[in-house]
Amino acid sequence: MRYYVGIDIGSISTKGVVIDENNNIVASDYIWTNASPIDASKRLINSLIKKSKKEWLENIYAIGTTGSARKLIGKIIGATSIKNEITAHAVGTISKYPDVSTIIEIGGQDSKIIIIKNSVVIDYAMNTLCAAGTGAFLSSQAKRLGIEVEQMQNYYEKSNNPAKIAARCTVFAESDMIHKAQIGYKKEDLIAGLCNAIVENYTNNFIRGRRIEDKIVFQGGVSRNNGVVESFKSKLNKDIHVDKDSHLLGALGIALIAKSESRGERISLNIKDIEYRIREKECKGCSNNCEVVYIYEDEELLDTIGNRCENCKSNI
Amino acid sequence: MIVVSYPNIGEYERIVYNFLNKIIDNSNCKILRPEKNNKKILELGEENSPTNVCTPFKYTLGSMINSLNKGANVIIQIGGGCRFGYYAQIQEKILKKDMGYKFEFINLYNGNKLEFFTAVKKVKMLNPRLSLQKLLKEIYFTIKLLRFSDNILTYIRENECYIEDKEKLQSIKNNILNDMLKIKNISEINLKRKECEEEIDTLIVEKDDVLKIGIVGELYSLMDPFSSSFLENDLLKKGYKIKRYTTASYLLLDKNKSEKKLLKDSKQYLKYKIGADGTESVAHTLELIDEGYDGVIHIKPFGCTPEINAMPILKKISDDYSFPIMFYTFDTLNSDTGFQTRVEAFIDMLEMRKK
Repeated sequence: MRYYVGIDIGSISTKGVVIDENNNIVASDYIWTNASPIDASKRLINSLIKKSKKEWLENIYAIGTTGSARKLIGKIIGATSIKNEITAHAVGTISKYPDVSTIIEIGGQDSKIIIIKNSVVIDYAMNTLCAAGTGAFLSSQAKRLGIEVEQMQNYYEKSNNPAKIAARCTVFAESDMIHKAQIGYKKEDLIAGLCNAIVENYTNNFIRGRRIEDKIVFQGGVSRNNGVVESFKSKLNKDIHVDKDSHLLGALGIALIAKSESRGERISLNIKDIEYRIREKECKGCSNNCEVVYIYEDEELLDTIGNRCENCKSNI
Repeated sequence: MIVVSYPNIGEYERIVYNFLNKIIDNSNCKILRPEKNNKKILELGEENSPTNVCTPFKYTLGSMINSLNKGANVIIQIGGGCRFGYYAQIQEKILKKDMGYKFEFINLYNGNKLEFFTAVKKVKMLNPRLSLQKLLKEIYFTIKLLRFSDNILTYIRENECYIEDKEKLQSIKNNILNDMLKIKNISEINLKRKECEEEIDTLIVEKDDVLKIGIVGELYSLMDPFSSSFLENDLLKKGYKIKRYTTASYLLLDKNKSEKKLLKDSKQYLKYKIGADGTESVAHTLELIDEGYDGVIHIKPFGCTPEINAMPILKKISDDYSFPIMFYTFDTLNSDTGFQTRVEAFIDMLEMRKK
C-alpha cells in the first residue's frame, strides 16, 4: 500500500493528512499556525508521524503543500507538489462529493466560492484586499467578547434576537458591535449577529450575480462554527453540507494532487529540528529588482522564493 | 546645462530616449534615462501622491522624483484619455509647490489634446535651433521605430509558446531592445525587421494544445511589467500563448481610427464609448472569444474608472458565453502571493475545462 501526505498551511491554522491509496484519511491533525508557519509545520509533521504506523511512513510516495505558506514549507520539507489552495479545495471536495456544484469556503484570512459543473471548476472568486467576513474577523471579535472562538456556536443557539451588525467592513462591524454591546445586547445576541454578518458579507461579495445550485458544500475553518452554518441555511434557503472533515478538505485535495503527480519514488516525511532562518531582501542582480526570500537551513542557503532568475543566488 | 528626463513605462523609455537623442543639442543638453520601475520608485510616488489616485500616477510621479534627485532639471510628461489627462498638471504642482523642486516642466498636452504647434514650441526649449523640418523627420522616424518594435514584440509574444530555444529568443529580444536605443534611420529599421522575422520564424515549432490566454485592461498595468507583478512574463515562461492588444503604437496611432469599428463589433454590449480603454477591453474580449481563446485576465490599477465601467459588461459576457474571465486590481502591493495564487488557480481551472 502506498501513502500520500497533504499539508495545508493557512494563515490561522495548519492542517495535515496522510491518505492511503484509496483516498481514505488515515491520520490527520489541525493546529494553530500562530503566525509561525515553520514552527507550526514542525509540530504538525511530528504529530502526523506520531499518529502514523511505521509501515505507512515507510511507504510515502508524495508530499504536497498548499495554503498561503505553501512555497516556504514546500521547499523546507521537499514537497513533490506545491499548489494553490483554490485548486486543492476543489479537488478535495470533488473527491468526496462528486455531485457538488457550489463550494463555500471561509478560512482564516480569505473566503472563496468555487462553482463546479460535472466535476470541473467553471468559476471561482476569492475575496480581495481585506479580511472582512473571514475567520480572522470572528476570532478577533471572540477575543473582544472574552470567549474562545470554538464556543461561539453554543452562544448562537441561545440567541433569540440577533443584533444587526454591518457586514461590509470589519472596522465598521467592530464599531457596530461595540455600540450594540454598550446599549445592552446580550453576548449571545452579539455573537449571533456576528455569524449573520459573516454570511451577509459572503453573499454580498460572492453570491450576487451567481446562481447557487445544489449540492452546496461548506468548508474551511469557519464551517466548524455551527452558527454560521445555520445562518447560511436560512439565508440561502438551501441545504448546506458540512463534511465531518470539512476543515481538512484542502489538505486532502493537495494530498490527492500529490498522488496524481507522484513520480513513483519513495520520499520520507520529516522536518529537521533545526533553525530555519528567513531573510527578505531586494535583489540587485538585474533590473527586475525582485523581492527575494532567502531560506537558510542553519547557515546554508536552502532555497529562494520570489526570484525571476538565478542571479540572486550568487548575489547575496 | 539642461538635464532632461521623463517618466517610465515598460520598455518604451528606450524609444523616447532615441527620439530625444536626435533632437537635442548635445553641447548643452543631456538625457537622464529613467530607471525601470521598482520598489523605490513606487515608494517615492506613494509617499507624495493623493492616497486614492490611480496607481500609474504614483509610478510616474515616483519616476520623476527619482530623476529629479539624480539631477534632472527638465521633465517631460504627456496626458490624455481619462484621469491621465490631469496627471501632468497635478504632478507639476506636487513637485514644485509641495516638494519644492526647481525645474522646468514640459507638458506636451494641453488638457486632453495634443496641440501640435504649442508642443513644438515647448520642445524647442531643449534645442532652440531645432528646425521644424528636422523635428518632423524625427517624429516620422520615431513612429516607424515604435511600429517596428511593437509589431515584432507582439509577434514574439504570440509565438513564444512555440519556441523551444529560449536562449536564442532572449538574445533576439535583447537585440531589439538595444536597437530601440541605437537605431539611426528607416532603412536600418526595414533591414532589422526582415532579419528578426526570419530569425524568429526559423525557431517556431508548431504544436497543438497550447493554453491561450488574452490579457486586457488598463494600459499602464498592461505595458509596464513591474506594475502587474510581471504577469505576462510569468505566463510566457510557463508556455502559454498570450495575446494583448494594447501597445503604445495602438494607443497613439491606431486608437482613433479603430474605435468606431470596435464599438460596432461590440454593439450587443456597448452603445457608446465608456472612456479610455474600457471600450477596448470589451471589444477585444469578444474578439478573443471568437478566436477560440481559453480565458481572459482583466487587470486594472486601483481606481481606474473606465475599466470599472468595463467590468460589469465583461461579467455579463462571461456569463453569456460561459467564458472564464479573471479580474484583478493592482494597488501599491508589496506581496505578489495573493495575485499569483489567483492566477495559478485560474489557469488550473482553464486546464481542467480544456480537458
